[in-house]
Amino acid sequence: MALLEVRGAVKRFGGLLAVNDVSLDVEEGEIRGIIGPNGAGKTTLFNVISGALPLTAGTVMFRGETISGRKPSHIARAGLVRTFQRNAMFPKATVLENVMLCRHTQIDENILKAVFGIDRAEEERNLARSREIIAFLGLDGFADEQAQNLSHGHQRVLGIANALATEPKLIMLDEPVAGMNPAETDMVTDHIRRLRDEWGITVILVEHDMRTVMGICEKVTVINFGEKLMEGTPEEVTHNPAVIEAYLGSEEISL
Amino acid sequence: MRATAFGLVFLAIVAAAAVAAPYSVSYYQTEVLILFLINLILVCSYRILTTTGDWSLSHVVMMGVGAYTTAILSKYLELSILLTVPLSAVVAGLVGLVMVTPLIRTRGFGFFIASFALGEFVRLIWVKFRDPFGGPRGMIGIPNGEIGSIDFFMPVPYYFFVLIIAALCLSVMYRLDRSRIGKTFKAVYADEDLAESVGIDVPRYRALAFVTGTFFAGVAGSLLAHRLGAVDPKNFDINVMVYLIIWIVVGGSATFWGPILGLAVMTVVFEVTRPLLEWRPLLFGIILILFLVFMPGGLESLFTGLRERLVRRRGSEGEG
Repeated sequence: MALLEVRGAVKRFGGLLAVNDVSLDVEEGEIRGIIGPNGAGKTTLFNVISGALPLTAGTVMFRGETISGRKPSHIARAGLVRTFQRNAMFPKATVLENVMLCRHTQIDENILKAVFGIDRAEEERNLARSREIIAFLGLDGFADEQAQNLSHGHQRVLGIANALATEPKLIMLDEPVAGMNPAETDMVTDHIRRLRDEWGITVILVEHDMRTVMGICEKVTVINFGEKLMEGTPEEVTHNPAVIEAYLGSEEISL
Repeated sequence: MRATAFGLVFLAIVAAAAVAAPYSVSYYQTEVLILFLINLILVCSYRILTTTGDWSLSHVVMMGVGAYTTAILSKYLELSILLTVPLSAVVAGLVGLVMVTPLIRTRGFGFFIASFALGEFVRLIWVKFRDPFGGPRGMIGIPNGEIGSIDFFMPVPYYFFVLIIAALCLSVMYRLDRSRIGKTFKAVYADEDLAESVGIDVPRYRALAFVTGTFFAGVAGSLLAHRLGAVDPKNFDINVMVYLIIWIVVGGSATFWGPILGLAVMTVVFEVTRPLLEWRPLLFGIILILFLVFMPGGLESLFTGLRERLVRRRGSEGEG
């Protein structure tokens, strides 16, 4: 049984079929790339898997449980988290506060506990783990910096840190290296690989930067006009005429 | 560390002034102070809602729920003030829970209008049902309350009773604001989609803020009913709600202290403009507009701006 099973996912916006009968299996420990031209429906696919948008038809199973129809917060609790294409963060909070705030899934909270003293041990554990996540992504030098003052690259990494704070089994990254320079891109690519290798987190990423996708994904799913065009290794995908046609309309994908 | 010490000294001064106050002012001024303390609970409870971005227009009505509950409990059931205050809070919280269930489906302007409509619905129930709510004229003859031999008819003992309750409520609300829940409320406001994606059940937290706020509004309403000895639907109409909004706009709502500052300043303005009676709504309207245009962060933004500048200067000195 795959970690994530998408079966016949359909998302319709009025007359537009943004996602049309997409099925997808992602195995535990995979780094899966989802590519496709602009407007192919990649982000919509993310939104319906993570619960941000309701499915028109189809089901999504995660760890053997149906998660379609549930709220994003419940899905995050089940261990599936997504990042955003925009730099989503709490801008006025520091990097450390951001990560601490996002550890909601790990905390059993109630109002009495909030008012009449906190669980010090739990608070300490949280702080320690938050620092660990920040250090893992190389943000430790900015722990006390307000998120809004970070560079674009660091803000994108903070987005990943916030998602990791939920202790996911599967993380879905929406264009993690968008707008980054080559050095930053290499750094994030390295983080993604270590996420899987060291922390055992399964990764799905939507990305435009072909070099990144081809560099770290073992398997790539190509989406075009809301439909799954093909699935295969980066090698197979880059040499498939249909993919080349959809993507570039030319002979070859430049790496 | 220095900030904590400063805070403690400041708190001690405020406490001393609060204890000494009724002995150095007239009875009338003591009544004003009692009203100020009740409004203090009200304005702080309203801020809880605003931290999630839900600017409700029904908050004063929820205070009214507390007041009417107290009127019924103390007049018909002759319950002690020690019971009416907490029970009124619970009833207001429960009514808040019923109201927030549909309200949670709305956001922003929709929430604003829907909360107004639901609030008016509750007010209409008071107007329509003469029994037990007294209809448009409301209810009179609500006991002032007493504890043992201390009769709360006189303002000074009641002042101290309200002072203790207000201190209790404010410290609970302050701790809530500083707690993880308080921070989560603000996270919900700052970025709803992000909050939901990292496992924060946004509707649940918005409901929690609403119910907690209405609970404390119920306390304020109960204390008010005992003091006035009467409640009437007009005490809790949209005019009073506008005053509540003015306090928060003038003070600001980003910090716990902003609404308190706003209430203090506007209470003074209210008292010194008593001779201008019919001009007062105009004056308050102008103040509201001036603040919205020229100081949208409220008076507290003067202090937070000052602190930021100090921190930045200290930071640059450290670097240099």
